[in-house]
Amino acid sequence: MTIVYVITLIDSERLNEAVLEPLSTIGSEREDTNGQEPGSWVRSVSVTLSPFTLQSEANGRLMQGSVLIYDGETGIWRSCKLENPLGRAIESSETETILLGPKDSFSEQIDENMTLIRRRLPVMKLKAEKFLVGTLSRTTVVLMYLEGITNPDLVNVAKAKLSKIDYDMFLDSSHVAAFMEDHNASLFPQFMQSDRPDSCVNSLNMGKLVILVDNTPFALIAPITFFNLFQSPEDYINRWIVASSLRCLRYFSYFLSFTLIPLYVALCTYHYQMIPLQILYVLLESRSRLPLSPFWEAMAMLMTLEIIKEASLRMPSKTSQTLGVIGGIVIGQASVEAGFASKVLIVLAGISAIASFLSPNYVLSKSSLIVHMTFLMLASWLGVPGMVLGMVALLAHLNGLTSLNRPYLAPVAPFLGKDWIDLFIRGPLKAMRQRPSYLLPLYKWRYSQRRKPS
Amino acid sequence: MLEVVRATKWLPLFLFLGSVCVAVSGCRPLPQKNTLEELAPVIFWSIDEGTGGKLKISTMVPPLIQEPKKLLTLQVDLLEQGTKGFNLRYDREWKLGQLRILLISESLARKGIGSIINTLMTNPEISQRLFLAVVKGDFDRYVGSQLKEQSQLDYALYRMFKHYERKNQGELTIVNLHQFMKKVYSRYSDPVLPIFQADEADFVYEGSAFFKRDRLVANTDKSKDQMFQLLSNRHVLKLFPIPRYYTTIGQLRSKVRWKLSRDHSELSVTVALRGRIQEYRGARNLYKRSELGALKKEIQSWLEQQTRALLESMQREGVDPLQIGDLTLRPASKPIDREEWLQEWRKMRLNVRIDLNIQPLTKVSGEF
Amino acid sequence: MTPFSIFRRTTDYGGLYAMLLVNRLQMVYFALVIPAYLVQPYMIWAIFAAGVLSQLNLWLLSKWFASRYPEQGRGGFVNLFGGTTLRFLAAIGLVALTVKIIVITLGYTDIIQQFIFPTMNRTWLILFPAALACFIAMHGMESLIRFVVIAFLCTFWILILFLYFWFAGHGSIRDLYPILPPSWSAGDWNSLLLLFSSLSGPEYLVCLAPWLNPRRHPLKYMSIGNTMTILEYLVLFATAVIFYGPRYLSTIRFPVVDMTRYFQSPIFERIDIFVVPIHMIYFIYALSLFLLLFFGGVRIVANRANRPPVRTAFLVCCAIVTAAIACADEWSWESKVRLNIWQDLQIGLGAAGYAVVPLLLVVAIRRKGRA
Repeated sequence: MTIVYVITLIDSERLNEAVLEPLSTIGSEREDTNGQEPGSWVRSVSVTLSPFTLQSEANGRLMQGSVLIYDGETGIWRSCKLENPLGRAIESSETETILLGPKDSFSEQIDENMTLIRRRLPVMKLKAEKFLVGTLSRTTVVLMYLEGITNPDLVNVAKAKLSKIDYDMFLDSSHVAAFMEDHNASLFPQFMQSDRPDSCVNSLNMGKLVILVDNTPFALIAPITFFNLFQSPEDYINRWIVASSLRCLRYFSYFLSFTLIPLYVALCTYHYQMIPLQILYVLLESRSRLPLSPFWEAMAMLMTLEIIKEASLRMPSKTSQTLGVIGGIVIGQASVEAGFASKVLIVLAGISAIASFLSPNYVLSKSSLIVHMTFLMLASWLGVPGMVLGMVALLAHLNGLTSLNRPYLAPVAPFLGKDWIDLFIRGPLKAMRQRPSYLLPLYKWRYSQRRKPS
Repeated sequence: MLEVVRATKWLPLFLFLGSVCVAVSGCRPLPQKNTLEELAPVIFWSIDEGTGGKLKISTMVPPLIQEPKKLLTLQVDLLEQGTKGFNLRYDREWKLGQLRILLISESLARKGIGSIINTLMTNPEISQRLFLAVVKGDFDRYVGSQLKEQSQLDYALYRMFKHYERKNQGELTIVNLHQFMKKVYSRYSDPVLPIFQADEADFVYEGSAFFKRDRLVANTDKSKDQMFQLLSNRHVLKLFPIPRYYTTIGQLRSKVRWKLSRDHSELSVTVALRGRIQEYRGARNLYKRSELGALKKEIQSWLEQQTRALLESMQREGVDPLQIGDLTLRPASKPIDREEWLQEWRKMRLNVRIDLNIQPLTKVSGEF
Repeated sequence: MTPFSIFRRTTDYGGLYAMLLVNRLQMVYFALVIPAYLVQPYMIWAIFAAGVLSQLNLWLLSKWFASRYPEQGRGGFVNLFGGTTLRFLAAIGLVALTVKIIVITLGYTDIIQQFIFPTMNRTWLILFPAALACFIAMHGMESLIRFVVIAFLCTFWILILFLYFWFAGHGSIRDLYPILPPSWSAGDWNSLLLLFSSLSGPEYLVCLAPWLNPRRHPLKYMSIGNTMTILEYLVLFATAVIFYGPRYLSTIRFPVVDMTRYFQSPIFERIDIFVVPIHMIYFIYALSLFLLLFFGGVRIVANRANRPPVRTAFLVCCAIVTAAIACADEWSWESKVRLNIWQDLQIGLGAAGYAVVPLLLVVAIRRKGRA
């Protein structure tokens, strides 16, 4: 009998318990039980063994943490899966933190992640389909959806895209997303990444797809709309009026985060007549001693701000606090006193930086830098009309985007009035009686049709 | 769908790069920039008659708070020539986009200010909310003497106008460019502007100046102006001192009802006034109902007389700042001419009634 | 090279889009100047009259929408008119479309130049909107039809601002007198024609028929759109009359834009600088729609409609249109006291087009049905 395995990939303790010990017992009893039929040892090991014949199969199983056992008497190769259970425990999400609500989050093990989802959706309708992507990484990708709710067209499109993927390495779900997105060159994510099982389950329930990728805690949710990027799981935990106002605040602050400084530049460069007289005095006073034009002043402050932001990300958390203090207070204060920037601009830069942190989606807030710069240039170039032109171009671009062939700006364009209950406001849960219609769910009612709620 | 995507996917990038190139290279299609630090926004302009038919324009520089200010004056033929002239004299560029107040001297106003106002009105940079006022006396001398004491004189003036512009503030007539122009072009009525008296020490509100089209013809004195405030759109006065009867009426509100007879020969005006006696220094005992009633009657008849005098002075001058002419308009008939209206207005019989309702701030009893 | 499919069709868009398109296409440009030509308060009735006429046309148009032809797209027209006639009609349509594009673009250019950038080179002012419209049009007809919702949401609220004047004590009901016309002059007839022409635009929905499918209640949605437009015209006009008074109003070139100069917000003292460019949103929207239609028309005239569209051809079309606008601007766009030759031409063509197109289609359907 020959046993083949890669020691770093398997769980050696379980190998001892489940295979080696039973086999050695059989070996010592062999003298007495002579005349047993060959291959009967299979029954005595406490793991399931599957036979195989091909060399390529042997390689594949070996590299995925299986133990290969060759029985010399019968000449059959068998394998059992005993992979190393190395991984971390279920922790709370650090990227999507909420105060109230479930605290668990996905980990790197896809099976555990599926368990977390299945526990919340214990129904037979929840389907999971497995795909293998990556010629080298051999990453398992699981497509989950609710049968009978999710539109089959979406499932088919996703399946077709998954099976068409041809690439060597997949280390994160975003890599998978990159091969599935309709619009690669857009700044805006068309797949949402989340490591919260509750938001994944919520999306599944709405009729969306969830794609889990092995070895990453971030699941992909699709199709999404632009407005989904502003919805936090906490919206559904807060009182609905509070949640609605907070959501509106998020939209507003996203808008503010890339228009505030450009507006300052536009006003200081072209439209001085718009500024109220009181503010005009302040601006004149502070701007009259500055060496840089409003555009370059804003550009310099913006770059500094982004450098501080980026630096604080790469630092250990304790250092980044110091960095924030140095960056915010020292550089801000000093640049005003040194006469490099006006006080008004520092205030505006601070506001727009904080406003940019409000959007719950990290990818979106990262991308807003480029939008911000573009608006800044348009403002310095054409003033407020330039900004409006930029806004139109941005809206047209968003309007042209699709996520799994569903329009990105739904339910605004195309206009779907019923979905507006969970758009700018988060309506009361009782009133959200239908699944979003832009997803074309097969079953749209969210409550039982037989018993009408009284 | 995918094809459409490919068609457009690089465009944002190109647009972005394009704007980068253009913005950085300085190749801007915009020749005119209004960079804030290079501007001197004009807050007020004071226009006076110069010598030889010229205009004398003056304003204050610099716009900054912390620097000492001075008064600049120019004699020009054309208004916009003044802007240009100031530009040549000062390091910053003059801009009219923040022009808030225009002070016109009385002598100029008597000759007609249509052309000046038109110039300002057609300039899209200038706000329609520009405040207009007529000044008697030498405003430049007032500014000259105040420069040291009150460095932010222009701003303070603007705040004053702004404060009284709001509804329910009463006291002053405040008119902006649009309101003036609307009246100039209106079918029957004539514009009004506030008139101020300026000398070396003071800048005092005098009353309302009545225009005939764009020409100043008359103005009220201080006491008649109070009645004018109550009759015109404001309908409110915070304080109405009547020295003749040793009384100050406070928080006075008016409700005016105009009635024009069918043949336009008689105008009845009923003014319901409601206020309180804020101050009384006379000999009457106001705790007594009968005495209070007597005072009320006296004031009432005095007010009627004042109102009548005010309206008669308007008739004499042939102006209609109270938009009485609009009463002749009917939904379905052709409006009469302005000339015809003026003829009728001059000859119109007046019928003035005041319903005064004033409360003392104390309790009043029948006998004391 | 990937195929370029701006005319691809995957889903139908319902009545709501027809409604918004009718409304936004009727609001383009002329709505902003029209109070200065109506002037007298009794012209309110002229607005109603033009609205009723426009409603009549929409009724005819809905007859056509209810037939089986619109969903066949170009094939439907070929069935109705025959290939050669269709090419001829498309050529006429192209001329009308070009005039319309030129008038609205240069009209907005005038507004921007008067109120925001007085010294900017006009060619740039033409180029920017044209380039942006081209960019939007490149996204294809489907997303363009979807975009009308955004264009509407971004712009309709401006109307609410004007209601401020009704409550700010700028005038009384007497400013609206005489509300019944004491006399009716030839100028008033002209104003009626101008009104009807400025309400034109919905006839272009004919070209969008394959995508737009208000089959169930075509008339209902288009009527709502038309009514919304009439209400907007009424509010704009009545506000202008109250704000300026008739005599003053007749001296003003862009009354609707001029009124916004009076607005003041606590944060920004002159919100006209926001409002004027925001008006541009639906202008650019209309321009991009017209660019696509122009391209489609050129393809029909050139007998290329059966082949897949080519991106270069589309860009060339956009360039031609932009060049046409620039040439018209350079040589024949003079700001006269009233309207210039292009605007007069557009008033005639627009009114004629709006009157003739629905009639022609209904007559053709009748003839076909009988034969």
